[in-house]
Amino acid sequence: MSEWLEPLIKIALVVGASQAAVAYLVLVERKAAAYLQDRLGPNRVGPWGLLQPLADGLKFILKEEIVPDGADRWLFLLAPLAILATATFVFATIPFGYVVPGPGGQSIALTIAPNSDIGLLFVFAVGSLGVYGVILGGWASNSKYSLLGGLRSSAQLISYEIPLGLSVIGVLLFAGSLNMETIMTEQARSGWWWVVVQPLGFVVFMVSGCAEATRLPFDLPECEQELIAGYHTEYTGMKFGMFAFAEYLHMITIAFLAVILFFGGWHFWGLAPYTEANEVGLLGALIRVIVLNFKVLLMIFFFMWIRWSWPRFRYDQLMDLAWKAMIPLGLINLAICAYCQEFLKPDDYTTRAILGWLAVGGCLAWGAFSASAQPAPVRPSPVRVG
Amino acid sequence: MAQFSFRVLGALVPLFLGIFLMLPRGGADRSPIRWLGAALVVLSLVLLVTFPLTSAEGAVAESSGTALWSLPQTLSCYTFHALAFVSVAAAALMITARNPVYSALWFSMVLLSNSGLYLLQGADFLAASTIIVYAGAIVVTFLFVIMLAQPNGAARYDRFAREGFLSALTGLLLSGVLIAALHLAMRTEPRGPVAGLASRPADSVVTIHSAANGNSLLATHPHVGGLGRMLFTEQVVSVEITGLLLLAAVVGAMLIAGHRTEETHVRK
Repeated sequence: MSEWLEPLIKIALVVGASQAAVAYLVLVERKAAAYLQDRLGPNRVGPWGLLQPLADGLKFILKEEIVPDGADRWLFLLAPLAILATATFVFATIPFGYVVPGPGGQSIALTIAPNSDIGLLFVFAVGSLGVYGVILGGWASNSKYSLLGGLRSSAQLISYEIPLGLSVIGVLLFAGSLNMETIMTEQARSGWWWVVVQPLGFVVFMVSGCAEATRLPFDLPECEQELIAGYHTEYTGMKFGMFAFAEYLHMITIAFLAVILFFGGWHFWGLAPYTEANEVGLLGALIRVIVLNFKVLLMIFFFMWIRWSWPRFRYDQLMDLAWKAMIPLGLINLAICAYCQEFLKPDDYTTRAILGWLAVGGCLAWGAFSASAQPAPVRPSPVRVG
Repeated sequence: MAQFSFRVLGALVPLFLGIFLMLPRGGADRSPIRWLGAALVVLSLVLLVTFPLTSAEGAVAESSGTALWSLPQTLSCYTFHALAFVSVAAAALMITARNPVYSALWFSMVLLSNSGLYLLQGADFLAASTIIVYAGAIVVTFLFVIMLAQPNGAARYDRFAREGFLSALTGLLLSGVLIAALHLAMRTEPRGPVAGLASRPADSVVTIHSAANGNSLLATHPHVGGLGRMLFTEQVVSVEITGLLLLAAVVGAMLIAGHRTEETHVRK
C-alpha cells in the first residue's frame, strides 16, 4: 500500500504546488515589473492585488475558444497539451528537498522518482519534447505568421539545447553521476557550490537556460509587438493559457536545475550542513526544503530582474550567441573540468576554482581584444517613412 | 512444429490483409475499407497475444503452453502490455497515415512507447537517449522538412502507398520470422526475456545480457556508469571512429549547404 501511496502523495504535492506557484509567479512578475518601472502594478483585486491570479484564471476560462478556419483541429488541440504535459512531466526526477524521516526509520526522498540513474538526462529528454508543442501549434493554426513563428522558435529551442547540455557536463564530471540527489550531496559534502568552481559553466547554463525558457532577452517566440507573437498567435482562452503556463513551468524548471547543479541544492553552511540521509530529523528536513525552495525563488526573481533590464536580441544575434559564443565557452569549461578531474585530487576544489576563474578572465580578455580589433559594425540605416 | 507454423500464419494473415487495406490510396480518409483493415489488425493482435508461446508439441503438453496473456500479471506486466499495444498500433498508424505530418507524429509515438519499454527493462540510458536523439531531434527535423516542403498540404504522390502489396508481404515475413525465433528461444530457454518479465523489474536486461556473456564490467557496474566505463575502455576505438564519422558528416553537410560570400550578395 505504502509504495503506492508515497509516489501519489509526492505527485499531488508537486503538481499542486507548481500550479499554484505559476499563478502567483505571474503576479510576482507583474509586481516586479511595476517596481522596476516605477509603477504600482496590479492592485485592484484584493489587498495588494493578491486575488489577481484568480481573476486572470477566470478570464482565461471564460474567453471564447476559437479554432481558426482550415486549422488541423486535432493537432491544434494537441499542441498546448503536448507543451504543458512535457513541462509538468519533467518534475518527475527533480528533487524538491532532501529527505524526510519516514515510518520505521526509513527516510523518504523528496523526489517523485528517487535515485533515478538518469535524473538529469530525463529532464533534458522530456524537456526536448516540448518543441513539439511549438512546431505543431505553428503548423496546425493554418496561418503564415504562426508557421514562421513556430519555425523560428523551434530553431531557437533546438540550438540552445546544445550549449545547455554542454554546460552541465562539467557538473556531471565532478559529481560522477546523473542523479540529481547525488549532485546536491556532493556539493554539500565538499561545502563548495559549483557556481564558484565552474563560473564559466554557470554563465553558459544561465544564458542557454534563459533561451530555453524563452525569457526576455531571448523571448522571440513571445514578442507580440514586433514579431506577431509567433506559434500561439491564433490561440485564445485557456489554450493560450496553457502555453503561458508551460512557459512559466519551464522557467521554474531552469531555476530548480540552476540551484541543484550550481548552488548546492538544499545545502547552506551552518543552517543545512551535510548529513547522512538517515540522520535527518523532521526539523532538518523542513529547513532543507525551505532552503532549496528559497534559493529557487531567488533564482526566479533573478530571471524577472533580467527580463526588465535587457533589450531583446535580434534573430541573427540570437543564433550567433548560441553557435559562436555559448558553444565554444561550454567547450572551454568542459576541457577545464576534464583536466581538473583527471589531474587534480578529488577534494582539491581550491585549484579548480582558481582555474575556473582564470578561464573567465581569459575569455573576458579575449572578448575585449577581439571586440577592439574589429571595426564597429555598420548599422543598417532606418528607412524613413513619410 | 507444423501446427505452430499454421497458427502463426493464421494470426499474421489478418495483420497482413489489414495493413494492406489500411494503406493510403488517395481515397477518402475514413472509407469503410480502411476501417475493415483496422479491425483486421486488431483481431490479429488479439490472436497473437492470446497465443500459446511456449512449445506446442515439445515435452510440455498442449494445455500448459503459456500465452503472453496468462503470465502472472503484475503492474509492470500491465505497463508492458499497454506500452507494447501503443507501440504496435502507432506503428501501424504511422505507415498508413495519409498526411506525412501525422506519420511523423505517430513515429514519435512509437519511439516514446519504445522508450517506455526500455525503461521497464531497466535500460534507462537507452530510453533517455532514444528520446533525445530520435524523438527530440530527428523527428523534429522531419517535421521541419515536411512543413517547409509542402506548405499547402501534402502533395498527391504523398497520399499513395507505392508497392503496398509487396511491403505488406515483407512485413508479414519479417513478423513471422521474429515470432518463430521468439518461440524457439522460449522452447530452448524457458526463462527467456518474456518469462523474465513476470518477475521483473529491478534487474536490467543489460545486466542479464552481460552476465550471460560473461562481461564483468557491466555486471558489476550496471546502468549509466557501467555503460560509460565500457564505452570508453573496451569500446573506445569504435566510439572514437563513430565520433570521427559524425564530424566528417557535419563537415560534409556544411560543404553541401555551401556558404554565402560577399560576392553572391553583390551579384544579387
